[in-house]
Amino acid sequence: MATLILAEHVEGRLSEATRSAVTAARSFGCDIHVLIMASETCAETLSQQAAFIEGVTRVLCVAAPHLETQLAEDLAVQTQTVLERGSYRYALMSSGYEGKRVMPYLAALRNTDLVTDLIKIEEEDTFVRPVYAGSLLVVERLKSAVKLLSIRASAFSPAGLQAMAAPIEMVAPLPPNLAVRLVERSGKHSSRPELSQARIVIGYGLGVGKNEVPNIEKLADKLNAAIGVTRAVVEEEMASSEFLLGQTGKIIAPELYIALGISGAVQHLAGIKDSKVIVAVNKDPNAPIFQIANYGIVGDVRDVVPALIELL
Amino acid sequence: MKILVPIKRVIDPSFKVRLKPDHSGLDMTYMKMVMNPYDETALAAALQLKEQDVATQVLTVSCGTDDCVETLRMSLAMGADETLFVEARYAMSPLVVARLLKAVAERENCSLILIGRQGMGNDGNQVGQMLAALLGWPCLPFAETLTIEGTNARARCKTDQGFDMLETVLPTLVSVEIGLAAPRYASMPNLMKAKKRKIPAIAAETLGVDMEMDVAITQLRSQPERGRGVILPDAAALIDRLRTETRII
Repeated sequence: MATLILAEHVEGRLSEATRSAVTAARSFGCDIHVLIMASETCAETLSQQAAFIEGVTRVLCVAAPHLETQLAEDLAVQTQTVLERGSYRYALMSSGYEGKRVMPYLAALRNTDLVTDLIKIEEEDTFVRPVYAGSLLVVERLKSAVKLLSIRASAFSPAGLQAMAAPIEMVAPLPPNLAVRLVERSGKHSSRPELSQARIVIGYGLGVGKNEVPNIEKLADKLNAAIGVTRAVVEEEMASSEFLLGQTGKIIAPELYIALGISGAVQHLAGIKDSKVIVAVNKDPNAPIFQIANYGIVGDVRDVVPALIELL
Repeated sequence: MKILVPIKRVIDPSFKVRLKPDHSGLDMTYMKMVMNPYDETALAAALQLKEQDVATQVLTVSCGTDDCVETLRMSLAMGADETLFVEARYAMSPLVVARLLKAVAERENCSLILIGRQGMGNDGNQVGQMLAALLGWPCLPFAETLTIEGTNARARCKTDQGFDMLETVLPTLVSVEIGLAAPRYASMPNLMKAKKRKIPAIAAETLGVDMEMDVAITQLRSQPERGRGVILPDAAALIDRLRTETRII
C-alpha cells in the first residue's frame, strides 16, 4: 500500500508544498511515491529533487512536452491511470490553486468525494479542516478506498532530505487533452520571497495610501519579507490579486506578520491568523486586528514605517 | 445559448459564526442568509453576457431544502430569466451536488455554466471542477475576466504564480472569482414581480443520480482564539521586543 503525492513545481524546481505533502503522508505509515509530471527538459532534475526528500520511497516520472503547461485536465487524467495500476490508499497534493484545480477534477473522474485543505490528520480516515474563514473546524471522515486529499501546506512543515535517493521509475505519458489552450502565463520574477513561503510577511490595507507603498517596499527589502494586501487594495487596483491575503486569497503562516493600516475584517484574518507572531499598526485603537496581534502600535503608518526602516 | 448559474444559500460572510453550546451544529440565532457572493458575481456575469447578446437565457438553480426558494427568488429579481429548485432534504456532499447539477445542465441543454469558485462558509472549492469533469467539459477555473466570441471562451484564471490566460470552445464551465462582474441589485419593483413568480421545483430523486456520499462530517469544533497582546508606544519598542522576545529579526 502506498500514498501518491502529486508534485508541484515552478520553473524546474519542486515547490516547498510538495515537501509539506510528504510530511503529511509520513503519518500514514505506508510507502510514499512522488509523481512528477513535467516537460522533458525538467522532468529528470525534478525527479532527482524528489528522490532525496526524506521519506520518499519511489519517484514516478512522466515526461512529455504538453505537461509543461500543467493544465488540470492533463494532470488529473494522468494521475488517474497511475492510481489505477498501483495499489494506493491515498493521493494528495497541497491546496494551492493547482491542487484546487486538479484534485476535485480527479475525484470526479474516480467518482469519489475528497477532503480539501486539511490541517490535521486525526486517524487514517479522519481529517480536520477549517471552515467559515477559519472560525470553525470540521472533522470529516472519508470512506473511499483510495482517499483523495489536499493539505494546507502551511500546516505541515516541509520534509527534510535523505542520504539515499529513492528509485525513479518512468511512466508512459498519455496524449494531451487539447480542449483547453494556454494562451499566456504571467511570470513575475520578483526579487522578494514567495508569499506562501516567506518567514516574514508585511500586509497593508487601503488606509495606508498609495504614497506609502514605496516605503513599505523598502521595509520589506530590509526584512527580506514578502508583501501581501487586503481585498480593498486589489479592488482599487493598487496591487494585483496574487498578493491578496485572506479567505479568498492566499492563506499564510509565517513566523512574523506585520499588518499595516489593516483593520482586520474576518475575511482577512482568515488568511493570516496562523502566523506565529502578529504585529499591527493602526490609527484606530479599536481596530479588530489588535484583538489578535501579539504587538500593536496605535499610530500612523506614515510615521511608524520610516521609523522602523531607520532602526533596522 | 443558455447559461446555467448554480446558486448556493450561505450565511452572510460578514457574520461571525458560532457553535451551539453542545457543538451539535451552528448557532443560527441572529444569522442572516444570503446568496453566496461568488454565485452573485457569476449571475451578474451571466446577465452581462445576455445583455451583450452572447446568451439568450439565464437559468439559476439551487439544490437543497425549501429555504433555497427565497434565494432563487432573489436571483429572478436580479434579472435571471428562469429558475429551478432541486428539492433535497438533507446535506449533500460536493460530488452529489455536482451530479445533480450535471443532470440539470443536460436536461436544460445549457452550453455554458458560470459557478462561484466556492461556497462561502464551507470553503470547499470543489463543485465547479467536479461538474466540469462529470460533464466532460473543459473548465476555466478561478476566472477574473471572461470573453465569449462565437463559440470561443477566453478567461484570465488565477494561479499560484499569477494567472493563466486560457482559451476553449463551448460548451464549457467557468468558475468565477469575485470581481469578474459587479453584483446586481434587485430593485423594489423587480422584487415585487419576483415575489409573484412561481418557482418550479423537482425532487432530487427524479433526476436519477446516485445520492450516495463518501464523506461525512463527524464533528464541529471551535478554533482556539488568539489572545490579545500588548500595545507598544513606538517603533523602537517594537524592534526591541521582536529582537529580544521573538528573535525573529
